[in-house]
Amino acid sequence: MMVLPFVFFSVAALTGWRRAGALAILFWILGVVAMVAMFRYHVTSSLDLDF
Amino acid sequence: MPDRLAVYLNSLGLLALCGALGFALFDQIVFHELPCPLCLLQRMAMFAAGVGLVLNISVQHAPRHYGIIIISSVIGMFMAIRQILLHIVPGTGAYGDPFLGLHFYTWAFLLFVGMIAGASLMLMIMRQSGSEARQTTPWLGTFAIGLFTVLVVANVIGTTLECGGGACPDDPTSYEYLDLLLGNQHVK
Repeated sequence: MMVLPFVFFSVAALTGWRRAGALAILFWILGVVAMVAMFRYHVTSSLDLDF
Repeated sequence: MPDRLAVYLNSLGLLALCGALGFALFDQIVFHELPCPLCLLQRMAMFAAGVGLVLNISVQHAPRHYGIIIISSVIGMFMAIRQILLHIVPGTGAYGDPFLGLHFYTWAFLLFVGMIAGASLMLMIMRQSGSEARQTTPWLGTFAIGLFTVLVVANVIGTTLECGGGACPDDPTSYEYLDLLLGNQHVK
């Protein structure tokens, strides 16, 4: 799961490099959503919280 | 601001980001200092911010790309602050060895602050409409984007070997998935 945001950002970088700006932003959004979800999972699991 | 100067400044910013990410990867491989989940999250935020720089270099010098840098850096800053606060109480220890007197998460915090400041400054002095869509990329920009892509792919491989398809351990001691693949006995 932790690798997922890296994959999205690598695709975003590659598509950005190929000048496909809209596609790069789409993958950046997917990566940010996955990254924030990982951060939330880490914080809630380490604090033993259950929202 | 001339478009050419903006591209070079963004390229230098991306090279600086690659320097930080490359040093973290060097430390991981050479000194076997495995990144914790929060360290990986901060790297992710740096890559997220780097996407904005890549778009500024190769597609167009535009305000929305600086937005990408600022949003990513704010998220990364929260992650770095969380890790700083985890270790701020005296006697609670720290994660990893310090570099030039500061731990990596403190350096990450400073880097995110710098990126927010840099992107904000560029927004203040750029034309409101941004630049025309770019047809060519200067060699410095191509080099920086190539290096950035290599680093993000290296992190994909490293994270897969460390964590596999699941969550990473809080205090990693080995590449668990690599051990699993090699059939080593000391897998947790």
